[in-house]
Amino acid sequence: MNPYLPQAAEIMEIKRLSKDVKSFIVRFTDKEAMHSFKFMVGQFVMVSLWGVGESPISITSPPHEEDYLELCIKDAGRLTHYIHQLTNGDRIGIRGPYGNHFPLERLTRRDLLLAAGGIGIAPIRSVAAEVIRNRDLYNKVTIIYGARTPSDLIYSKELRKACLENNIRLLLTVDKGNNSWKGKTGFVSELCSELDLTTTIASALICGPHLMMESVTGRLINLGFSEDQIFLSLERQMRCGVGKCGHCYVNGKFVCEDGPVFNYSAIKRFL
Amino acid sequence: MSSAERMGEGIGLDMAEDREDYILNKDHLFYWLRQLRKTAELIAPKRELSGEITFTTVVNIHDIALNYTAPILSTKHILFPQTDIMFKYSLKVPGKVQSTFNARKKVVFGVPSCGISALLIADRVFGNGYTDLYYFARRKNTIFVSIGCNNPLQTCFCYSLGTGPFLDHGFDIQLTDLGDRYFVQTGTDAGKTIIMQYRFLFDEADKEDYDDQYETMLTAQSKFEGRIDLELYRKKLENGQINEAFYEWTADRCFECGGCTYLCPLCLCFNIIDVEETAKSVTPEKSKDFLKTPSGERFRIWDSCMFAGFTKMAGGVNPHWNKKDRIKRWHYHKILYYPEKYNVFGCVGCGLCTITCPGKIDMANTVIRIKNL
Ligand SMILES: Cc1cc2nc3c(=O)[nH]c(=O)nc-3n(C[C@H](O)[C@H](O)[C@H](O)COP(=O)(O)OP(=O)(O)OC[C@H]3O[C@@H](n4cnc5c(N)ncnc54)[C@H](O)[C@@H]3O)c2cc1C
Ligand code: SF4
Ligand code: SF4
Ligand code: FES
Repeated sequence: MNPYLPQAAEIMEIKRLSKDVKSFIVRFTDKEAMHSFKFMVGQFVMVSLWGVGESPISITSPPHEEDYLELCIKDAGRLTHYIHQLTNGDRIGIRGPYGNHFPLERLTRRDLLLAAGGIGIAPIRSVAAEVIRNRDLYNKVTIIYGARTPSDLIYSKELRKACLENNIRLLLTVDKGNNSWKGKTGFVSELCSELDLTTTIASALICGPHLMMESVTGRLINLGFSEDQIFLSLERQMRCGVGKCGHCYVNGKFVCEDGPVFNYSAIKRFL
Repeated sequence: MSSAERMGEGIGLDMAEDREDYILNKDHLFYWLRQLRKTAELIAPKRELSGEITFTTVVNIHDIALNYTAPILSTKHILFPQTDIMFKYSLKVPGKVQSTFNARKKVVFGVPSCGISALLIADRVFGNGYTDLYYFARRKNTIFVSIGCNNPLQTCFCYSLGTGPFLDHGFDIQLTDLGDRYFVQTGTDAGKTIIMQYRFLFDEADKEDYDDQYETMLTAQSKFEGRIDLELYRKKLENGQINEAFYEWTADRCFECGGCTYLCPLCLCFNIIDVEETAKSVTPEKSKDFLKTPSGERFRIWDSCMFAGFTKMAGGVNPHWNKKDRIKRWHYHKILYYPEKYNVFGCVGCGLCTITCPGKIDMANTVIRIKNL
């Protein structure tokens, strides 16, 4: 099997989530391909648009959803800008899933902190869905999530509802509020002071911009989180997704293959 | 995908069970190559108008340069071309793609030992994890006839690394130039086969031939002047003994030409790019026009970590923005992380980066300076 070959997927539905983020519900045109596609939370796919190229995009739908994939894409550059122009029925190419995943299966009976910054919510939403599905397996769960402005907080209604129903604490913040924003302003890391998790049995799963991950991790360690219980999903430029092209290479690791999820103690020398 | 496929199992070449040695009279060489060319594309060192040696498809058998010193390019492009079409796409059936494998039979004649050593390491890189079928489609259909180096250049340091000037395994066929004749060693079944087809051209090697070959090998080894100690460099890197100032010094001398990486037989990084067959200029606003474009190709192209854009991400964030970090990344990859992952350096001592680097901060020069740090 040739790992570089994308498979056709059709866009079934598009939702605008914010000024520059849209969510795309896609389905492989080949039924068998859709059925056999299995992934784990935190994995990504390479999304193709013919004539433009491809980019790594996390899967934001839950793994148990077998009829479709949801991709949440920020208009950040060339390819993603073209994708934002597509409409229902258009086709894209998808290959994957690639990379490792957040190790939820090893974290049962622990307190969980899910932390997202900006578009980092994309894989975290999938993690949250999986945690909710198996809510009994985990202890206290808290989600902290920050974005630039209130309207950049995507999936927030859905998250609020799901957290309320499933005994999960949700803390939101924005860099810059507006008149109708009653919540917190400040960086995601500042929410760490409000955590009431038992750090000795807590694990943190984090995805966001580099600076956000750095500051959140610093806070957590100060709070007493153990380094090997902090998991971070790194972003790097990716071309192949399968450990060959070298673009995502960092200190002896390929983010696409050995990551994107890394244990803090393993990567602190280059975070 | 089965685990066997992922591991690239069964893709390596079968080593010949019992190796056999022969003698080929030099008068018979071109006849043999002519015969081989009837069933395979023949690639051999050719002297270009500029005087430089490149490995090119042979049109006229007399163009083959037998006594060259070093090629200007390594042989990596034979299995990993500078641009390589991966598949064609058609928008009539969006998403249906057809991979294009170039699997023509090839015989590559006259590869230096370092080139073969690089190949054996590249096999691991392209075969580790996901198997790169483009590389291996060519690999399986290509026979490499190497020639041990009797006269290494001053820039060469394969002997320090055990990657030359002669090899004891890894080649399909290894030739040793004994003046009037070649000593011929077979390393794989594929190599043996192309000798067996023309067995009448080859004589059995006798005691004198073995002695001459051994003598030639020893003489070649004695010609390496300096020892380039990559292991010392590795230890110093591991122990954090090389300060930032050293890399700043190298960065000041780097022109960002990318020559080191393009020439290096173990720089295997690439970019992936789409090209439409109808080269229309399409603006993002009219991106639907892409969907009307009938067809195109996706191909890969050599890339270089020496270029600033190599690691640039959306939003302009770039973890390796400055030259110093990029040079460090190149060195760490070759000297620290190749050994961690594959137990070999990402360098075979071919010296091509020394020949090309205008800033004189190639691998050998760097390591020589490191010794005194
Ligand atoms: C594992 C992983 C998962 C991810 N998941 C998601 C996700 O779920 N959702 C999401 O939205 N994003 C995700 N990303 C990020 C996403 O991959 C990038 O935003 C996307 O690749 C950008 O691609 P692009 O082609 O649109 O941008 P590019 O065109 O590559 O742009 C990148 C940057 O370079 C600039 N640029 C481009 N071309 C040039 C040029 N020729 N000269 C100068 N500058 C140039 C652009 O302006 C931009 O700032 C993920 C990344 C990784 C690694
Ligand atoms: S680093 Fe330089 S000497 Fe070493 S293999 Fe590459 S080009 Fe040859
Ligand atoms: S060849 Fe020398 S000058 Fe050119 S990019 Fe490489 S190190 Fe820099
Ligand atoms: S994206 Fe190519 S090596 Fe990771």
